[in-house]
Amino acid sequence: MWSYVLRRILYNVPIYLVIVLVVMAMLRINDPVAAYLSKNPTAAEIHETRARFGLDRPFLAQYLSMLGSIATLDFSARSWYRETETVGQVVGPSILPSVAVTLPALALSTFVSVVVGLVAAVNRGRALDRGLMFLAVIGMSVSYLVFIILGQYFGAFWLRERFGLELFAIRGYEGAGEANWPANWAYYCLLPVVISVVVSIGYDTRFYRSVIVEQTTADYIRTARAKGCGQARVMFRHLLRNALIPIITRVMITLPFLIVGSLLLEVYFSIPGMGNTLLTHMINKDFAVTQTIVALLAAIFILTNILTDVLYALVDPRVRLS
Amino acid sequence: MRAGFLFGVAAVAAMLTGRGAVAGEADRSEGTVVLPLPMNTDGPRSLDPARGSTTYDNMACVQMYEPLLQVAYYDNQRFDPLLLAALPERLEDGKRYRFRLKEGVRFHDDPCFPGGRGREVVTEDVFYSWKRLADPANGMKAWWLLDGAIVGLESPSGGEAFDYDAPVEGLVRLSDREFEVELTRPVYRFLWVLTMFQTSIVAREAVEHYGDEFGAHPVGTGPFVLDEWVPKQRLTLNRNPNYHESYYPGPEKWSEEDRRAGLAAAAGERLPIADRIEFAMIIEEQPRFLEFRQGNLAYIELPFTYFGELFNTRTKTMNREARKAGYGYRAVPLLDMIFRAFNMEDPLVGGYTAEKRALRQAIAYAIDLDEFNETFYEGLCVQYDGPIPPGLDGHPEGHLLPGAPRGPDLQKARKLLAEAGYPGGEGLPPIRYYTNSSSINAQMTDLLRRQLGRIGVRIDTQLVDFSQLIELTNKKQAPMFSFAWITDYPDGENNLAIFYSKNVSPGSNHWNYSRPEFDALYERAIVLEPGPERTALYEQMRDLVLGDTPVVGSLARTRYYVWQPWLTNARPTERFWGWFKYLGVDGSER
Amino acid sequence: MHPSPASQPEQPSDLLTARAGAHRPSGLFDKPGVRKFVRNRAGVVALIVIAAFVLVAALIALPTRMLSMDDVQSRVAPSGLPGLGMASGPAARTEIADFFVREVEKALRASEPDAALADLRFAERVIAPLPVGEVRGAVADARAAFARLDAALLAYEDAQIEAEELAEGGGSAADAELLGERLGAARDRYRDSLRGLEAHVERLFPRPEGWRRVVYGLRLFAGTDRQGRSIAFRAIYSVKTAVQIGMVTAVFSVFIGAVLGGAAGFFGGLVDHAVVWLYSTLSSIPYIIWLVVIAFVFRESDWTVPITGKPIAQTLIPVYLAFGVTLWVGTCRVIRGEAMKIKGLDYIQSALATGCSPARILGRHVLPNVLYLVFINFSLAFVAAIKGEVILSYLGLGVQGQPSWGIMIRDSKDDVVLGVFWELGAATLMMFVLVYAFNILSDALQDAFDPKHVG
Repeated sequence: MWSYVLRRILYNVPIYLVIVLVVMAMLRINDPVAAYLSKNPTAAEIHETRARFGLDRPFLAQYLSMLGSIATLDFSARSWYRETETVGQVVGPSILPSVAVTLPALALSTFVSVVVGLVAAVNRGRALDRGLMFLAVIGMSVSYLVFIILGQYFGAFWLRERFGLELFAIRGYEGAGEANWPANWAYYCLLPVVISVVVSIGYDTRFYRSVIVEQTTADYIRTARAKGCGQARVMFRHLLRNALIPIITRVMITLPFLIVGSLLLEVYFSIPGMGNTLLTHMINKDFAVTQTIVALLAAIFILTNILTDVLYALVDPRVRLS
Repeated sequence: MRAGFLFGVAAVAAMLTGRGAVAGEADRSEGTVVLPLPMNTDGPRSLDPARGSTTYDNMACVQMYEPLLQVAYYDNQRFDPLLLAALPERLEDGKRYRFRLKEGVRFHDDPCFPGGRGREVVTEDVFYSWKRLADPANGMKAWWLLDGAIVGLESPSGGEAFDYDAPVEGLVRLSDREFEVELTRPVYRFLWVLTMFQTSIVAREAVEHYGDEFGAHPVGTGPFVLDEWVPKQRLTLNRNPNYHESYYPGPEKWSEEDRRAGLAAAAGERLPIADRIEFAMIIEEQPRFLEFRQGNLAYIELPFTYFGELFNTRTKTMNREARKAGYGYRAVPLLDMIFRAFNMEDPLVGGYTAEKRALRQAIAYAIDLDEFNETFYEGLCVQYDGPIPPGLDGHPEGHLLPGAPRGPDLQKARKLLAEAGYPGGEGLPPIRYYTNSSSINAQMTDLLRRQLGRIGVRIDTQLVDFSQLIELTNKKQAPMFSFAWITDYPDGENNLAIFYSKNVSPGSNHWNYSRPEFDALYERAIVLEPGPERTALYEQMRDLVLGDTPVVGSLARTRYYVWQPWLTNARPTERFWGWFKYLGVDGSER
Repeated sequence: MHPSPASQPEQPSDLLTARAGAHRPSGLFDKPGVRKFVRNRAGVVALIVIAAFVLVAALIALPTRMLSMDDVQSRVAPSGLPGLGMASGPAARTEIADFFVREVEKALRASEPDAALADLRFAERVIAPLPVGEVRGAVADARAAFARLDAALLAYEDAQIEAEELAEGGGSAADAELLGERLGAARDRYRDSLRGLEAHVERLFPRPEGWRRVVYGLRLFAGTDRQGRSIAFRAIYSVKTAVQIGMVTAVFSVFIGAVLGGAAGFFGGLVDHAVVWLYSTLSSIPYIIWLVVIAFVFRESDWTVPITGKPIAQTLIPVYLAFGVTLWVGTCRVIRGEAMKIKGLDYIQSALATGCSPARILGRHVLPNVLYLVFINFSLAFVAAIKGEVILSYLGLGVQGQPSWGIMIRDSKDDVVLGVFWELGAATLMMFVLVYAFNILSDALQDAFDPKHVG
């Protein structure tokens, strides 16, 4: 088992190194210092700024130092845009808001999609199944942005106007550590989470349904039925357990995409998460923060990859023996 | 069954909205006057006046820091002493000014002072604060305000550290409270510079104590002290219990109209009137507007999109909704110059020959600023001729000058285009046009392209980042471009300076206009005090600029500030942001 | 029936073939998958819809006169008109009247008023051919009507406020009756003055007649946007933008995917490792991050396209690149899998040994088996491109200079809270139909061709 894990790590680490290399190189194509000091800098200013930010070192040195800071989680370089804060102080607090939206969205959408997929699969071919799949395809055919716009309108504005219900915040975020955080979370994050769920339901439901349907027609299910197992028992004991492998895989794969899909949500709902921070700092030529966030995001994705491989191996012994 | 369901939903909702104590709620006890105020961005980037440049840096800093002079609340065209005992004395025909600091002005209590108690402000503090603007370690964002103004005050170019203890020839200390400043030239605008927040007085102890963190630990003399700043989320301020004696302006200061509006009611009250300010950082317009309508913001700068919600768009008076809600409002004309401009050194569109002038004027006659006004600004802008905004000396009577090159007049435009050598637009290559990228600008560019297309002129539009736009104009690479010039202080000189040849790129003369006659007039005008002689010079300069048409303009925005019926003493302005200390809350209305 | 020898023709329907005698290559419609697909009505309808969209896009792109840039960029009416000919409220009608009068006033201020007036038109709605003097008179009359209207409105609003206060505060029945009369009278006066004003405007700017009226009506079918442009026509023009982006992206990514997948599958070894490693790396990062980084890099640069000299940041190249980086992976995986599968087969080996080029083998043996998967990936890429364009336009990184659904959605997002859904609705609906069709098509292809697929 452990040799497999080791292999996966060794396989993925070079990928990560290359990603960081490529990204760092790309960001340096246009001299970041010149872009930053746009009010007609003198040569002295450019030189001084470059030295101050450590950009006059050879590329390899900068590359290694970036890797080093990620490995040791040391982010004490100074942000170029928010000059009173270090990169760590800018990026650190942005992680929790992203997670506060992403993880619940993942959990909720997985739960809902699996249940709906199961219901549809069990009622395969009947009106219920057809109806649900029809709705799923509709959900897949509308742009994310439209869901956000309509969601915010109906969830926040319309409810207030028509019913006086201040259920959801129009925008904003108040972090953990404050009192009353669970209620606060619902107020600020539930609407974005619901929107995120609605967007992914279309894709996920269909996938889970097809996975479960595949299992349904498998031989062992027929055997179980022939043996006289009840419907529920069949569903839960056999179906779900075997469908677990692709389900897990799917959940792990969609996690990084959720983090990124929440970029739009964060921007629109003014949630100070990683995506929002990245965009703001990128627009304001904050090279230090941009570089760090992209490297961090890449690390998360690679870690997810490794984790997926490991989980997969745990559940399906054939994998680790290959 | 339905009722039950609805009840259930409502119960859940009630639970969800039962948000109890929030940070700072301890300060919101019964009787505390709290001002919930909006910020349209994610907030200031730094609370250090020397590093501030945006409106929101201004808005935040100026509650905690104070410059020597302040724009008068009751008359935004004048300034009053704020940290001075009286207006500065003008000596040697304006080459020297003598200042006397007010007694009893203390810095905020802060651990950086011995015993934690803020000390009184002295001359050295003023000098120190101004010197900071010249120090490259502070980013030099505000150095342009004092660059070359004071004798001996210069920014070190060699990369050496700034020596704060070295004496400056033009900053002469007479005593702890009196000093004189010697200017390189007797320019009147120096006094306006002293109203700007970047020249606020800071404490050297605080800067040295907090070092890099100084931008998050403001220690000033202002009416409020920092309570909490969570960048991008929350900024709250509490009343400064040691604020120097300062009183709400007396009734004789206010105009008849203002007195009728009840602005003199608080006369004689000690400032600040409110106890606490809570800034809400709301970037999107819709949520901001909704928060205001819900009563969660004391005032709002009404976004154009929502003008029709509260006002009759034609008559510009409040509609039934707004009147019923009891809002107050004020139309605040901005000192704006929204323009489309040409690079006078560009081979295609620049130059002073008759043909080139005809080309530029043809474009000017094809542009329909009224359509821009109606489409994007709800008709709220003032369209005017020349570079001097409404309300200032040199602005044309009635906003418009007969004979000025102002569109739409397609026949004239086509004639001029032919005179320029491009009948029907033939032979004229597409003109590269730059503006900063935003969704509104993308639409405005579409409109411009369409308007110019009517006479056959094509433009090749580039939407770039604002800083890149400035960079391109600095490098003289933009043949035609558009942004806005917001006058820093209410003197037309600020708008005429941008046509002065000594300010060509990379200076503020973005269009690289250079005319010796103009320069001569300008040099004569800046040393004069406001008066008919100066106004006449301004008008001559204005007419020169109109004739050469380096700029197609102009539009000045009018912002409508709307406030809740429970907000008192409100006379919003954008000339300065230190007026929050005058605001109060009428508990009975809330 | 008794079992018959295998060499005999089994079914009577093959009699025709048997009679013809000659060997007939199996046609497209004989393939079992294709037959199954054709029986799926939804799939066929989806295919037709897609073809229709592509046709529309082609018609717009080619220099026919169907829908010009002028049609979609110029103002055809006052801003913010609702669609479907819905009647607007009195406030909106006043604004519309104000719009027309202002336009006439602007023309009158020009140095040559008659020429300026002659130029004044909004698509089919043209100013009445009156002499300048009469026009001036009509404008003056209209302005007087405006003054009367404003006074009537003020009186009406005051009466309304009083009525509301009475309802809240409670008053005598006599008071209520008096107020009711006043309210009614004020309302009538207001309505009459509005109608009078509109009559003046009609005199200046008569509505079009006949078939021109029909065309004008079509323009206003979905209302007008903020700049008074026809939403319906813009939404239709955006089909061209969408198809253009979708086509280029999908073709590009499928092609790259097929080439790389084939190479990986056939040549194996280092090539295979390299390709697999490449797509693992690239697909680890979702395309939005690539998008933002690539767009950022291009925007800052001064690079230009070699021949046309247009700055790259202005074209769609960053968009294509960002999509291209991630969307080829699906096709690649499929082709690679298939290539690896048949690589081991004897006849392929012998073909390779005798010098048959791998490309040919790819085309003749690999592709046909997985064609449906390639199509499905094509659809997925197309859809991803269209939906991605919306997000790009919102972030300010997308198309410029031509209308697109993303731009329409971005422009209309602030109007939604004012209850104005026309622009958002039109763009969303058009995009929905196309994307939905692609999704149905993918499903139908999967149903028909995938042997392992259970519906």
